[in-house]
Amino acid sequence: MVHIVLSVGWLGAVVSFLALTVWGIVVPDPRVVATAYLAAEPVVRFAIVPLGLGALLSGIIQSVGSPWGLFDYYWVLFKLMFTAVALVVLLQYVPTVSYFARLAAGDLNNPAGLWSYLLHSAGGLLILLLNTVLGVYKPPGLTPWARRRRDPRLSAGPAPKRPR
Amino acid sequence: MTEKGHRAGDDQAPVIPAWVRALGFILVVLVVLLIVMLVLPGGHGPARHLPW
Repeated sequence: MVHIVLSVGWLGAVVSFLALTVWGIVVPDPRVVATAYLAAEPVVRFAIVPLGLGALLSGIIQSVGSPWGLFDYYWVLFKLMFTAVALVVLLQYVPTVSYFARLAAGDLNNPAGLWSYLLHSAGGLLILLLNTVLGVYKPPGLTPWARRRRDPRLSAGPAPKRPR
Repeated sequence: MTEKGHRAGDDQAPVIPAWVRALGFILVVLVVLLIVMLVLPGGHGPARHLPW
């Protein structure tokens, strides 16, 4: 439950960031561009980053404490890895967003940086949508190590060939 | 079970689902892109977006 709220909240926060970005790009008004840069920073700092970290932590705790496990099913493993990649990119990108917000507090009204915002938020949104699909449909598929653990005969390697 | 007493597929490598291969490809591309961005010196700082 907590994981679903945090994950969907993360997705919604990214959508709001994307909306600010598109607004700054399509409205040819320097005040709108500056406002988009300024408003995007708190959305990242106080919504996207905390929700992303919370989604990762709650997902790890929840999967370890459930029969799904963290490394047993491909869909859980992919969600973990996509989330990790998205968070690394996000944390790398926070200084960029802060930098533009500081410039926008001065006299920045150049929308060039918003195209980078668009690229990063659209990419992030695609990854989060993919994670949502994986979490909802839970496609079958056991990882090889989980299959080996659940079937002890496989841990001894391939079955020996019977003599003819 | 076969007539010889072992299950069909015992000697075969486990089949990886097609969707796992597709997502694995996407993940590898993302990770490579991330590593390239992190490793390449310069050209990815905040100021790169500004033409001046």
